[in-house]
Amino acid sequence: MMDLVKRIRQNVYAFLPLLSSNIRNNYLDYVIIGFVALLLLQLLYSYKSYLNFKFHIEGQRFFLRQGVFKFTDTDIPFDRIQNININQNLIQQLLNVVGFEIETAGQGSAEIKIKALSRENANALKQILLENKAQSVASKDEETERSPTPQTSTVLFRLNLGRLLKVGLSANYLKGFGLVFVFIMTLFQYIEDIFSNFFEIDLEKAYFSNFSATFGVILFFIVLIIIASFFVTVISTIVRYFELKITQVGDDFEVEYGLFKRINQVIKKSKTQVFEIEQNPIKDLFNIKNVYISQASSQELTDKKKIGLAGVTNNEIEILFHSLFNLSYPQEFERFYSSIRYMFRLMIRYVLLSVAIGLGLLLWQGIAVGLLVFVVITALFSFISYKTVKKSHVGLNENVIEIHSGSIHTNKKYISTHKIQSVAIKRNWYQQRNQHADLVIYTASGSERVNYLKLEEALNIANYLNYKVESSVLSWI
Amino acid sequence: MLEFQNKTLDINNLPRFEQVEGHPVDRAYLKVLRILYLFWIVLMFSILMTLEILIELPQPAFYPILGVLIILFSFSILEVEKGFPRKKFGIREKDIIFQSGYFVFTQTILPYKRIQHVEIKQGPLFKAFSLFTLKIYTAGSSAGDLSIAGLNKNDADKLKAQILKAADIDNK
Repeated sequence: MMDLVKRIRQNVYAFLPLLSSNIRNNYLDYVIIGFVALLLLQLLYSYKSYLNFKFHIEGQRFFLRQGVFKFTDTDIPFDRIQNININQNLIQQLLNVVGFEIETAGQGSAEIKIKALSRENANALKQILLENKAQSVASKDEETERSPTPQTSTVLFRLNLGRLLKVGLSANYLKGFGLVFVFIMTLFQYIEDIFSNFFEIDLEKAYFSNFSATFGVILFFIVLIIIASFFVTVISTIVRYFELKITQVGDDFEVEYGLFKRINQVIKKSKTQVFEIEQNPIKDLFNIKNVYISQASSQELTDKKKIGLAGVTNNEIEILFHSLFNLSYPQEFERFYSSIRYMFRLMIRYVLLSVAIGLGLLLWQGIAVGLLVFVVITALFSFISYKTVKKSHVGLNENVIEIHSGSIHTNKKYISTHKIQSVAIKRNWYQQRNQHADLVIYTASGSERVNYLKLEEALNIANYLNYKVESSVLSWI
Repeated sequence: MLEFQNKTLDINNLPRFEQVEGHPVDRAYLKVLRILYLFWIVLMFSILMTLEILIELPQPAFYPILGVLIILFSFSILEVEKGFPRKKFGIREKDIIFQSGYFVFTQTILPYKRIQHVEIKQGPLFKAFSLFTLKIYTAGSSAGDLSIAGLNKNDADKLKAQILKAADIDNK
């Protein structure tokens, strides 16, 4: 059933010619016949693929057979399963089913998606897969002290509406701004049409004839964009994290969130690579933080794929951190700071950007506006760069490294030293002369970079981390 | 710094990767790289010249393109000629070290125990010079994968054997 909806969505481009009135008048009959035929074929195909989609569990393996014209057999041993996600989007909510995803550590293609499963079945299947997996892991390497503790599940945290609103208000408005900006730019032509229809002014003419009117229009747009991005950001954040619930199951955590699309993810202690805490001034005011957790994955994790826990407090961070790292939360670190030279690197890009904007405005609105905007933007960028440099540092201790970054916001990433895959030192042409280096730390979920450390420090850290990796006996993914 | 050293072992006594004597990759690889950039230079300039003669590019288009091409190629020639002597790999008991790059000098340390599998590859041009590329895969995302190009048969086999041996010991 889900399949059908998806296929119709995929083929929607076939109906695009309908938008042209010319084609609509001449070929409407053919289009309708084609459409019906397509629909029938889709229906048949979907039904067949539904009949052929079969999975079962045998021994310690999960088997799946699917396909219409050719069959694909997939066979996953339980101990290769990395992650199980249960999702529910709007259509699935209507049909009262859930989507079930199995992730493996392979190169991405081995992922299994079951599109419609009743919730009870999904939970039962998940229980079986996870339980057996835990057993097989425990029996395999007993030295990793993974005693099969009784699986007690307690709700650690439930995001109530008040706090959800705070999360929305303190989100990064730049994301919403980008979205709105693109939207408005694409709609600009359209808006212009409306304007000229209703108010009978030609924007093109207005630009050049009347400076203050132009300024008014621009100001209006800026205010509009800011207000719209505010609402878009707040609403999209609320929709995303609606009724966030974190449940602790033994050492692992289950996370559930989303308004239109309920997402259920498992944070496995052994798979956790990077633990990220995000703060910004507004969040500090509300006394909340965001936590993002990256797990071992076959692809470089984008921000979207990280498991986000919005609106948690220090108390909950302590619990999370403690159970994922076996360490108490505020850790002591020996810190190494980025050199102030890092600011030059940041400023080069920013200055180029502000020069481009300034020059553009200079040609358009004259020297006064161009210069003014250039100075303001440069000052703003200098401030951001300065903050970025000041916040950029790395801290080490026996068990964990902390990568500290951010500009207006603050971002702290924690990685267990034994989970690091490899370390690299990068020095560009300029750094080779002034004895500085960038440190890149690779984990199973991607790479993290610390910019512009002193060469000697970077080498020491690399050697130390490498020693830590090679002398550790703990499993890392 | 002092406090840190007391807490752990003396950081200065750790084995230092930067002191490892690196083995250069095969000299024939330099020839391959030179052939590649000469090929691109000849190709791009002949395209530009053909365009100029056939459809007469306007002056403000021709010179900037020429300039960009010259800058791009001088950078890549510098990178190859100056960077080649820096392409070195080192093997230690527990890890493999690879360094390369003129404009951005990169040194990577990859512990054997984090290696998932190894692959020896050979393209057509490499075949003509009997060179190999050793690709080392790590778990998870491909960000940490390491590929060492321009090894001769002997080095490639030795490296692979060493990695497999170390991985074997580790698994026991």
